[in-house]
Formats: sequence, C-alpha cells, structure tokens
Amino acid sequence: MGSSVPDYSRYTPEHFLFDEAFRRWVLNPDPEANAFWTGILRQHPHLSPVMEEARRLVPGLRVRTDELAEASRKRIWDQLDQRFDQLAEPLPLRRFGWWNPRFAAAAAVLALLITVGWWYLRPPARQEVRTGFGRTLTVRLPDGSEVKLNGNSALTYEADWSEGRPREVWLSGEGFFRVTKQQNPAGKIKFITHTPGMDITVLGTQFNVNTRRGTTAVTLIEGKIQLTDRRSRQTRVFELHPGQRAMRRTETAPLDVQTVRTEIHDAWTRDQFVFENTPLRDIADMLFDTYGLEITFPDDLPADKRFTANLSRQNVETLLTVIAETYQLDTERTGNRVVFRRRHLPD
Amino acid sequence: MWEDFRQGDRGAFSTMYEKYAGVLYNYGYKIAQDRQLTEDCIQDVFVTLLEYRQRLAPTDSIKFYLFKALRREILRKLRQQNRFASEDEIDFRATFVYEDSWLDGQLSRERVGELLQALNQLPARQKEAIFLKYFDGLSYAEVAGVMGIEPSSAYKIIYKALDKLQKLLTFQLVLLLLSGRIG
Repeated sequence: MGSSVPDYSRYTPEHFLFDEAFRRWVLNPDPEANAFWTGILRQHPHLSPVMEEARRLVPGLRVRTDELAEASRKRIWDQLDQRFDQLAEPLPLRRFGWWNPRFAAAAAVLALLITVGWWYLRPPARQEVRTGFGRTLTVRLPDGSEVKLNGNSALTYEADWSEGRPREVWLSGEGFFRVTKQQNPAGKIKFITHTPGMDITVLGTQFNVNTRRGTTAVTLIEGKIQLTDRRSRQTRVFELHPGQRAMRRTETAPLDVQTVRTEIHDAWTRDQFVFENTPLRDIADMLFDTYGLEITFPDDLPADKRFTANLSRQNVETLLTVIAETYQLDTERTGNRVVFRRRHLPD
Repeated sequence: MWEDFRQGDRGAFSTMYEKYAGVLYNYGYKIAQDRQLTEDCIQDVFVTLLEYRQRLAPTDSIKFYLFKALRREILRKLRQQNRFASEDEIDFRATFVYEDSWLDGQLSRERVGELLQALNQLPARQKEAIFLKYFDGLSYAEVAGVMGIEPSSAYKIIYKALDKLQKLLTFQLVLLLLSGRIG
C-alpha cells in the first residue's frame, strides 16, 4: 500500500485525486515531493496533462460540512462538565512516575534487579507527601530545603540524598519552594523539580509552582531559575528572573513569560487571598483545585467578571462571604457544593 | 492532552471536546441524518470516555477512538428506534462540492460538474471510506477500524470506488458525445 510505488503510468486524474502522496504534494509541497513527482513525469511524459488536471482538482474538492450549532456545542459541554465532577474523583493525585520517561527506564532496570536478587540491591525508598483539600503542609527535605504544599497536592522525593547527585523532587498540585544552596568539590548541586510540563532547575532560590489543569506556572520570588521543556525533544532552556512568572497553558502552547506582582501568586503561603482583576472563573477553579469546592454562579453573572480583593489571615468561608456581598448574592452550601444565587430583595 | 485527560485533568478534557466535537458532528450527522440523535451520541461518547479513561491505552489515537465509538453509538441508537436493520442499510449522506474560487480557465465547469455527479453517485460505504481517508485524514487501518471491517477491505472499497468513478465518467462522456451528435 504505502511502501511500494504504484504503477502511475495508467493513472487517470481521479486516481491521482485520491492518491495520498499526490494530494499531500499538492496541498503541502516540499522539495522531496517535488523531486519525486518530477521524476514520475520524466518517466511517463504522457501523464503531464493528467497530473495537471488532478493538481487543479485537488484543492477545490470538498465534502459539504454539517456544522454543529454553537448553542448545541455549549449545551453538550455544560452537561459533560457536570458529569466530569461526578465521574472524575476530585482531582486524583498523580501517581508519581508515569510521566517521567526516566522512571520508565528505572522500572525496566528495577525489573532486572529483581531477577538478579532484589535483596542485594534494593532501590532507594521514595517518600511521598500529600495534602487534603484546604490543608497546607511544610515538608523539610533531607538537604534542608523546604517545600510548602498547598491543598490537594503531592510531593515525591527520594529518601536518601547521596552527595554529589542532583537533588530531585516531583510535584503535582501547588507548592512553594525554599531551596538551600549546596556545594561539593565538583561545584554547586542542582535542585530539580519535575512537573508534567517542565523541569525547573535551581541552585538556591525561592519560587512557587502551580501545576493545576494541565497548566504549569512558575513564579520566581528571588534568585535565578532554569526551565526545561521536556515534551519537545530538544531541551529548551529559559531563564527566569525575580518577579517573573512563566506559564504554559497546554502542552503545545509556547511558554509565556510575564512580569507580575509575585505576592498575588504566593499569597496562599501567608494564608492570604489576593486577587487583582481575577476572573471569577479562575477563582472558582482555584476553590475546586485547592479546597474541593464546586462553585456555581448565577447565570446572569458572567464568569469572566473580574474580582479584586486582599484578605489577610482569612479562611475560605470569609472569601465566599466577600464574593457574595460584592455581587449581592445569597449562598447555599450543601457538602462541597456552593451555589451563589441572585439575592431577592424584599418588594 | 490524552495523558493529562487520563489522569483526570479537566482542562485536557475541555481541549479535547473543543477539538473534536465539530469533526465528530460532521461525520456522525452524515450517518444519522438526525441532529438531535447525533448530538446525543456525541455527548454519550464523551461520557463513556470519562468513565473508562483509566482503562484506555496511553497510545490510543483519540480521534480514531472517538470516531469509532461515535459510529457504533449512532448505529446502536438507530437500531433501537428500528431505523436500520443491517450494515447494508447504513447511509452516508456526503455531498461532494467544488469551491468555485478554485475554478480557473484550465478547468471547465462541465468537467468539475461531471466529476461531482459521479462522486455523489457512489455507494454509501465507498463515500464513507473516501470521506474518512481523504477528508478526515485517517489511515487505512483506522478507516477499517471505524467501519468495522478488515484493513484490506478498506483498501478494496476505495479502489472499487475509483473503478466505479471511471465507469460513471466514461458513461457520462458517452452520453455527452451522443447528445452532441444528436444535437
């Protein structure tokens, strides 16, 4: 089918019209294809008018599109979105390891070691620390570095940090890192934070990492940081400076670097809520990711409405009350569902 | 995206829906020819995907999986409503069109008209295979998987379509010549 070259000499325009390689050449020509098809023409000069006709037919030929109405697209999504809440357990914590190709290799090596005799060569134990919804926890690592975990987050690291090897941890959810500088005769020792989207390499610094919803956002408070893009084959290194925030929304999107007010992004580490023109949708997402709360706003309150507030030493209940007061809403809470409704003023 | 979705990422699920809802409808409607039914099936397919996401292989092609599941779901619902009994009755209402803006002096309107007429006369299975292969970019193996046939059959269906096309076009040419003689 694809490997052997068909007998083009007897092709009609219709054959070319439905020949994959020919279509690709017409729609996306490249030098290799140009050379190939010029060669075919040289071999079979009689094909010249045939191919010429097919070449003109290919781009205009379409199958009439049946379009999904915008209203339907939205209606279906709204229902899927609800089902998502019921079906997907509130953000299952990632089992560490599946997203790092190095772990796959490590697993293979492990299997080998087991057959050799695992009692001789037991792999180093890994520690995993998790937080529940709405809880924070500070983890002290063997090298003295500290990681504060936000609610519904997990940090994995090796129990034994032998000297000379890079320090490595794996994060899902959100964490604030205070990394100590470490040195050995060979030089400074790196500290690498692995997230699904990128690796963050530092020598000693403070930064916040948020890996929710397929987005990876790194906010640097002080020092210098290197971001390595792991999905694309080549390792692209970005340098971040204090006050900058690097964010990637999806795995294919480019890395977006902005200068920000860092206190917005690490407010949670001081038990504060700081919002500055933050869309309500983002606040609802944050409340779901970190506190496990499902928020519903009234239909006539647009989710892109922006909210600004600075609440110190407050709990999530106060935040809900402030939002309700700001937009004149009533709050109804059942379990982890919070429904905001328009406040009915007495007649 | 696939892997993030399998791990329960809502953003990845939403991206996947945005990317495929439209192409799925464009395919499914051609079989079902029923707006409501096609939309219901699209919703069901994504719900099933949610339910079984952890059991899906990481290497599965999302698009292939969705097309296959949608076709199966549409046929199941049509069968429930007694609107179709056997594989042979599956319709595929694809209308081939040519965008006029591509017409130039070298290509006559008559020639394009004849080609479209011939294409639009092809049997449903041939149209469906051509549609999936050339307009949705699936491989022969994927076309076969979606349509529930052997890969070699998918290949044969497309080659039969080309044969049929030749015959139809020759027939039209003869008609044209005859009418020319008579007129």
